[in-house]
Parts: sequence; C-alpha cells; structure tokens
Amino acid sequence: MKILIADDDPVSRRLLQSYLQKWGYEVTVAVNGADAWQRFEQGDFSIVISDWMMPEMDGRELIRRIRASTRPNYVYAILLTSRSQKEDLVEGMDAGADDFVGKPFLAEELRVRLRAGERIVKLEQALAEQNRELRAAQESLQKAADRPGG
Amino acid sequence: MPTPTADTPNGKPDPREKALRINIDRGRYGAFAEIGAGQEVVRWFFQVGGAAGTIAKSISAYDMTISDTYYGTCERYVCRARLQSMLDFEFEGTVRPLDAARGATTAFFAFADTVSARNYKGTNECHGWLGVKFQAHPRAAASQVLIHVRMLDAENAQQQEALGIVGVNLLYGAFFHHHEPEHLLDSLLDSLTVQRLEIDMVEFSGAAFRAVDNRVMSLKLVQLGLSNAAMFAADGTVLQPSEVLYKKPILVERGSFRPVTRVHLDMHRCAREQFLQEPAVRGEAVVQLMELTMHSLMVAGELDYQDFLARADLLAAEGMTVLISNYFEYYRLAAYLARYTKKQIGIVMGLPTLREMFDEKFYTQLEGGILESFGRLFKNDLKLYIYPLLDPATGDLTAVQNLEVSPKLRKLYGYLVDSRCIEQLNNFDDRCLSIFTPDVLRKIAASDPAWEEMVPPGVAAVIKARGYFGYRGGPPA
Repeated sequence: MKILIADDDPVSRRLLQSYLQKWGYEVTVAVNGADAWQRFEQGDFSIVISDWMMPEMDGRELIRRIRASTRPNYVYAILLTSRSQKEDLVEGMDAGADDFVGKPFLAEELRVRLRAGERIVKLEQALAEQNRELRAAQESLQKAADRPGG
Repeated sequence: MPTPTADTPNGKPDPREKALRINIDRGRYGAFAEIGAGQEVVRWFFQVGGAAGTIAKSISAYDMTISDTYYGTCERYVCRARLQSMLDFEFEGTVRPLDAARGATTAFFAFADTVSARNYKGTNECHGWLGVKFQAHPRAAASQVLIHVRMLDAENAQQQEALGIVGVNLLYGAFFHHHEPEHLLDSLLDSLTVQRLEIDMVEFSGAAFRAVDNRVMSLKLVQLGLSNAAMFAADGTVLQPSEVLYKKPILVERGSFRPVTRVHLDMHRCAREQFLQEPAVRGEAVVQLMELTMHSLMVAGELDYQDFLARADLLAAEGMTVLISNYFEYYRLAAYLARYTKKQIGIVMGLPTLREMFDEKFYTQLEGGILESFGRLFKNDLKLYIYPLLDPATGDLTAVQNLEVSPKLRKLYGYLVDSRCIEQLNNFDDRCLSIFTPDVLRKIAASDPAWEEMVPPGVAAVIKARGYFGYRGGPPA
C-alpha cells in the first residue's frame, strides 16, 4: 500500500519513513504541504500522513485539497500534530482528516492506527468494486430489458 | 595572648593563632590594601599583637579618585584586574624602599582585597577578590595566589567577619603551605563553612607554584567542596564564572569526554546552530561550555588527576572552555547558570540522558519529585537540545519525536516538547551517529587504528603524542 508522508521536520520524516518501510508500506516523502500536493497529484496514494504545521501549505489545507479532488479512490488521511486541544481536533476533522496522531508519537500507536486506516481503505475499495459490479450488472439488465422482445 | 599551635591535620589553628604565627615570624613583612568591606583582614593582625613585625603599611583607599591615584583607572573596582593592580602596586611599594635594608633576611608580601559586601538594601551581588603576592623566601622571585569569593552571609557584619578569616587563611596558607598547594587550598575555609563563603576561583602563579597546574586546582576546589563549580579556558587559564557568564546566553554540553569524540563536537555544533536561531539569542555572544561533573570524573570510584588532565587537554585541543561541577542533577546546573544570567540557557544532551531524565527513580530525594525537578529546570527560558540515538544492531533511530516514556509521564513529556522546552537537533551528521565513546577507548587499547576516525584530528594527534588512554602505537603486528 502506498503512503505519502508530508512533514517539514527532517527527523520526523526520517523516523516515519523508516517505520513505514519496515512495516511493508511503499513510502513517498514530501518536505512541505505544497510538495506533498504536487506528489499526491502525480501518485496513487491510499494513505496520507501529514504534519499539521508546515510552511507553504499546512496539513489542513493539504487534506482539504485531497478531499476536494476528483480522485476515485478513498484516501485515508492522518494528521500528525503536537496540538492536543479539542478545537484543533474538530478543525482537523472538519477539514477531512480521518484520524490524529500526536507528536511525539509511539511507533506502536502509529502502527495500529495505520492498520485501522488500511482496513477502511480496503473496505472502501471493496465497496467501490461492489458498486462497480452492481452498476455493470444493472447496465446489463437494463440493456437486456431494452432489447426488442426483452 | 594565645600560644601558636602546630598546624597538624587534626588540629587546625584558628584565625587568631594563624595571625599570631605570622606576626611573630620575623621573616615576613608587607602591606595590606583593602577596599569594600572595612579592613577586616589586617584587623586580625593588629588584634593579636606583634603587628609591628608584620605590617609595613595598611591602607583602605575608599575614595575612587584616591584609589585611582594609587592603582590606576579602571572600569570596575571589584574585579581581577583591580586586584592585580593593587597587588603589583603594594608589592613594589614595599620591596623597593625596603629591599636594601632588610631584603636579605625578609620575605616581603602584599595582601589585597577588593570586595562588594552586602549593601544597605541588600540588592547587590556580594563577592570579592583577594590575593597575596609574596616572596616564598628572602629575595625569591614573587609568587601569587588569587581567589574569588562569594559571600553568602545574610548580614554585612557577618560577611566582613568571614572575609577577615579567609584573608588570614590565605596569608597563612601562602606563607606556610606554599610547598603543598592542595593543603593551602584545603585550609582556605578553616573556621568557615561553604554556607558562609564559596571560593569559585583560585589561581596560583609565580616561582613557588611552577609545578602547579591550575586546572587541577580548579578541580580540587570542587572536590574539596569549596565551590560547586569551577571553570578554565582552553589555554588552561582559570576563569571566574561571573566574569564569563554574566548576562550572556549560555550553551552547555555535559559529558565524560573520555575522550572528546566527533559526536561530542557534532552535538555542540548542531545545538549552537539551532540555539543561534532563537529570537532571544540572535546577534548575542554565546558562552559555550563543556561540562565535566565530578561524577563523570570518577574512574573506578577514584578521582584520577592524570585522567582528568588528559580529558582537559583534549577539550583544549578543540578550543573548549571547561566547567567542572558538582551538579549531578540538571536543575542544579540550571540554577547555577541562572545565577549569572537571565539570558537563554541551552543544554545539549544525548537521547539516553533525556530518557534517564524521565525516570522517576532519580527524583526520590525531591519532595515534589519529577514535577519539582522540571519546574526548577525549565524556568528562565531554558531549553534542552537532544541528539538522536542510533541503535547499531537494528539501525533504528530514536529521537524526541519517538521516545517512549512511562505512560503516566507521556502527557508531561508531550507538553514539554510542545512548549519547545525539549527540542530535537535535526542538523546532525549521520556519520557521527555510530560513534560511541567506549568503542573509542576499546579500540585505542587494542591498537585498532579505526579509533582515529572517531575523534577530531587534533584530538587524535594529542592522544598519540602523549600516549593517553593506554595508546601504545600502531596496530599489532
């Protein structure tokens, strides 16, 4: 599964990349929000982990753009933030984040949250596939019904 | 009149006995010059009797203009330079007129102090400089001992009394223990306690102290409990802490530096770069210190002076100013530094030390435990700069961002990171992460030349030239 990391802090980036690769994910790193958006548009990512505070484009704006994009597949978005106040959480969720991981983070906590994200992405993919199949079956039925004598 | 007693380890003479012994020694004759806390030292010599045999002159030039007439102009009156000009002036002023008449049988001396004792409102820093310039023997080249004291008594009268006693101790030590500088040092607080007076700098110089290494004396100040900290520069000059630290931002790295390695210097470089970006530090002259605690100087439970000098030489090779302290706990180090400056303080440490700081077992002696410790540590805008740790076995990096602390301390840790009291160093040199000091020592002992890549070239050169840490030459045949 492909994950995009957006963080302007080099040590955080390095730690996240190292954990994620160890856990078997395919990782792309971006050094700020604008860089992340550019990479997102070029790639096919299932999960995005983004720092909240970044230069050029912050994490909320990045996630807003991801949600507004016309990409067919669901992207699971995790905001990585040192902020812990409730209003920030609401603001982040409002922007479209699925989950939060606080900084400093625990590797194990990140791993289980990613697993949860992965499950949701897979469910979304399965659902999308089922919808596609349903639509195809519907179309076949419709075509059969539209046929003369059908 | 008391009878002078023998100065034995079990029977230390009191100031009265010391002053009397000096007075009845016909071979000592000199001048006293005191500014700032009365004439408390010379008073002892007048009181015990027989002063005429010791005192050629006693002066207290209180008026600044009068003082300048004698000793020259100066910016501050309570400083080392003023003390030195007083000593030089009074010593020359004693020897020149008297040498012809009695120089063959008299060892001349000049004693001086310049002091800021407690003012009426109690708003000033109570400290002073004391010194004696003397001939160890008649017509010997001059020798000198300078000390800086912090006067901790609450009342001016008590401070004056303590000053008088330490002055007598200094003279007595210089005259009768100059051949044993360690004993001299140890005797400076006879009849006093460190609660009353702290001696945070001592400097020996001149003919009688040719063999004295002032860095070792600085160490002994702390070891003997005369002070909790002492400092010296890369060239070995002893420094008086307030003259170095006063109103300056300070960056300090604690370590055993046995020996100083590339990683120590990389830690310092990274921290300096980040510290200089702090808005409160930008454009300021930062004092950079390498701190050795007494704890880290113990090798197999003993203080090894040669080992200490080896470490000091290597730090000197890198141009570092050294702080020796007895402050095992970081909050005590912070309080010590904050005594001299309200500017920002940065402490550089490795990740393992930060991990230890979040171990509650270190705070059992504090009523408020870890919270009290951190409360004391992080006041005055202090910041910890953390160097990451690489696990050589797994290749895993541990940094501030992923350090695991006890679950009940996680919120506190998060708060301190959030508030930027704890900051990760992010400009480190990856090549330094795999350097560990014990490996360097092992490789030196095993004549494995790989150690040379682990220390700066200047440090490697000194280790090789002086055979430090068991260095025996190249690789085994």
